[in-house]
Amino acid sequence: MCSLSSSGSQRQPRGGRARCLVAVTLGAVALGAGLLASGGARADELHRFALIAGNDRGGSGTRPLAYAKEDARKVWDVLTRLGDVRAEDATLLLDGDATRFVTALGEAERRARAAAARGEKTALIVYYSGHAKDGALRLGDSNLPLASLKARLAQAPFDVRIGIFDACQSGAMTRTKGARKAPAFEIDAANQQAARGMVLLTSSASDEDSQESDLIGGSYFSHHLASGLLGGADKSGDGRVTLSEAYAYAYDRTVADTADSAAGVQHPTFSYDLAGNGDLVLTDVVARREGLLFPAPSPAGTYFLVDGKGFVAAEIVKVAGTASQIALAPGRYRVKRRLPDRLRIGQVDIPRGELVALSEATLRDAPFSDDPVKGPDRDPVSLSHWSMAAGGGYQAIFASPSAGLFPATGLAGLEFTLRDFFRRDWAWGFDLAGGGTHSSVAVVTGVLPYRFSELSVATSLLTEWRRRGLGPVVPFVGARLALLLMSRKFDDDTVPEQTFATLSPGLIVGARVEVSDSWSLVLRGRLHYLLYNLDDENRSLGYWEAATFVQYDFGGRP
Amino acid sequence: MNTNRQHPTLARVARRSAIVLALALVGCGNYSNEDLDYLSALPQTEDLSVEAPKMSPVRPALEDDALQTTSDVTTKLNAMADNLLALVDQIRSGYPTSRNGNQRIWGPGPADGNPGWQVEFTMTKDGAANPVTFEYSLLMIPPGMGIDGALTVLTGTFQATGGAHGVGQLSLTPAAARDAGAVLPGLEKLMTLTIGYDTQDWPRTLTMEVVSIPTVDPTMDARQAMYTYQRAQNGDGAMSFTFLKDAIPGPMGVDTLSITSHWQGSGAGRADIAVTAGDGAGLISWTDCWAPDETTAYNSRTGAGDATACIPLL
Repeated sequence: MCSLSSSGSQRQPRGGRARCLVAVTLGAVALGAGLLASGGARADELHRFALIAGNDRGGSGTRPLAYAKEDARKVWDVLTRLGDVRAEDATLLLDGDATRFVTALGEAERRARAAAARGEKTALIVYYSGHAKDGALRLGDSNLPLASLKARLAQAPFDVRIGIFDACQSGAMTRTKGARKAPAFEIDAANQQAARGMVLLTSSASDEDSQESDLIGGSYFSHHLASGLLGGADKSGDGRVTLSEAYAYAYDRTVADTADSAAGVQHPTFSYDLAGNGDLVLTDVVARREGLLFPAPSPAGTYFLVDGKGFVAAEIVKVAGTASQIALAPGRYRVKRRLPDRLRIGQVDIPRGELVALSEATLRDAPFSDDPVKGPDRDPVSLSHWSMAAGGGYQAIFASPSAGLFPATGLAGLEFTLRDFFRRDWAWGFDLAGGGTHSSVAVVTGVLPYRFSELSVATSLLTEWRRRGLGPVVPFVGARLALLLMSRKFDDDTVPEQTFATLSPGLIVGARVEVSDSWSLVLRGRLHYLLYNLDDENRSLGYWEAATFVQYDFGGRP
Repeated sequence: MNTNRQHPTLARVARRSAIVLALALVGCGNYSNEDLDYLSALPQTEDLSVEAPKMSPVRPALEDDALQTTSDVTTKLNAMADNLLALVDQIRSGYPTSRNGNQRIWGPGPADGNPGWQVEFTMTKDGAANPVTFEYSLLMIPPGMGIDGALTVLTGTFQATGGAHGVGQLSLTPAAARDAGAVLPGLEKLMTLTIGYDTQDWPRTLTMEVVSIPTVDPTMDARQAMYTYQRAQNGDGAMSFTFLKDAIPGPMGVDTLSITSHWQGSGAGRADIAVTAGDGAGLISWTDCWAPDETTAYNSRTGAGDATACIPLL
């Protein structure tokens, strides 16, 4: 049972909160990417699904965790970016309860059956980071018994199921059958049959706490697992990280980091029940040719790559004389290597689609007080974040079925967008725009001049594409639903004002040009459909908008 | 069985949701160009107003009699026009409540100041006519009556001939509604008011024929009066009307005068006056001219002033 005293908020250089929580990856559910037979099969031969769950809350008798959701986001990012898991096949469940977890699992099973019906091989990776207690995952105030979850995974309609659980006593998941607290498991490389079965990895043994670290900003196990999947675990040097490599890396580093922690040493465990060619490639760190390269001549040692928020994005052990590659996401990182008497620190920018070689010459000596790993003093991380934009544009209808009703007009507006909330690179926006113009309408007695005003309140859902070769240009497309409020106020005071309100669905397409970390220039076009009722007759038209906005990003991913 | 009962419920909810969504998409409001045509066909202030001869805010002590009479009549006509325009403006303040092809209907709705009464205003457009023509009527429906018992208070026509506005006629007939108990402030003595206006071209013309109920004192109010008004683009104006006044001493008392006034934008004017009833009826007529300073420039009856100071007939 996890000890609350050991998981308290006290911050320790090593080992902070103990996880009466579970950070478990159910390989069969979520880690559908990267499951590649190491015998040479291609990653895309296996349709991969992933269910990634993180929950900081464990209900009564537990204390909130600090980094369970961040762990989940990190794993989700690695799997969707490097693990050949398509974003639409990866479910990220943050602070969801047991019902939502099971529902998401059921949905993955349903899609797997459909894939199997098409003749596809399927794999599922389930990752869980959070509390566990008394033989059950604690998802907020709800429980999910480990035994039933394990049974469910065992029956799940996937060829390969991988469960990874990062939580206290998560070893209970593996102890019933063949669980081992060992630094590595052996793969029968001679068996060239397609892999089938289930593998469970847990962050700690059944009688151990799993621990978080404020210094690294996550749990030890998930941190090292993610670092390993980014390339740190690629012991073979083939650019692909297999399941056994990732486990071995996470095991070694977790045990080493927790050996002298107050909560006690933490031993990851595994339960391996795969038939056929058992080792599976989880991530391909070279295919994207994006990230950081440690050339072979670089000094050996442990390198910390710290993101813009002060979190350790990766912790890599560089071996002398061997090149290493870390598939970091594009961004700016600080690099640290610790020497006995000082630090070697520097900074590296990783552009989209580029593999940057780290030069030792770019690092400088620094005292320990300049350690870029800020620990709890870092800025709070928020992958989902807001942005605000202000700008203006022009709106016009395609035709004039009712002359003078909807004159072309300029619009000025504000937009607030919640980014990476539903999923990475998705943006949920809210915008407010207003404008007007002076126009006139012909009537039987002449011409009636009027002032046209328009106010629109809208919500939109966008998805952005970050592509190599586009540099700072990020195209996006999405849908929008606008509430339009229009009025015609006539110069002749005896003619009453006319007003009109309607909902208008539309499409958005555009591109964002990232000028700096926080500022972007947005160029955007919209196509909208407007159904309106005039003189008791339904009519419709289309209109377009073109706009330019300046956007400020309040944070998020570095 | 419960399951079966849920299906209609779900279907109903879905149907209602679809209706709400459809209504939201279709939108709501009063956007219409057609309605503007109807509103623009109603008489406007410029159609019915009479522009009095130019006068200073402070009237001179020796103001010319004919000028004063002309001015008083224009004030009276504008007051009648204002009453009518107030009624029209009530209609024009909102958009039709129902539409049926080339017909727009406002109401029926409550009649202000007449509890239980309702009013309905209907306009019909003949878009095929050249020029486009409108007809309209205002009905008052007594309490407890249906549309069949409605009483016509106002009828009118308008031709959109262009120019400033167009050519129109309207007739105000409040007597029937008043006799049925309707309270119509300002129209207590009116039997009919018939107005014709033409703002298609210069000069603008306006005619008003007023028929009042028989008065107790016929020497104070004419039962029937006809007003004809013209206004030129340069501000010149002319008006013909009858007027009751004891202008000729004699046993008949109050005389009926037929007056035709002409005035210039500069302020000078003249009135040609003839006695049509009373003392000297058919025998006496004279010309009264006034100067821009509003004093008498010439009076042929008294011989005062200089005849050359009179403006010519317009």
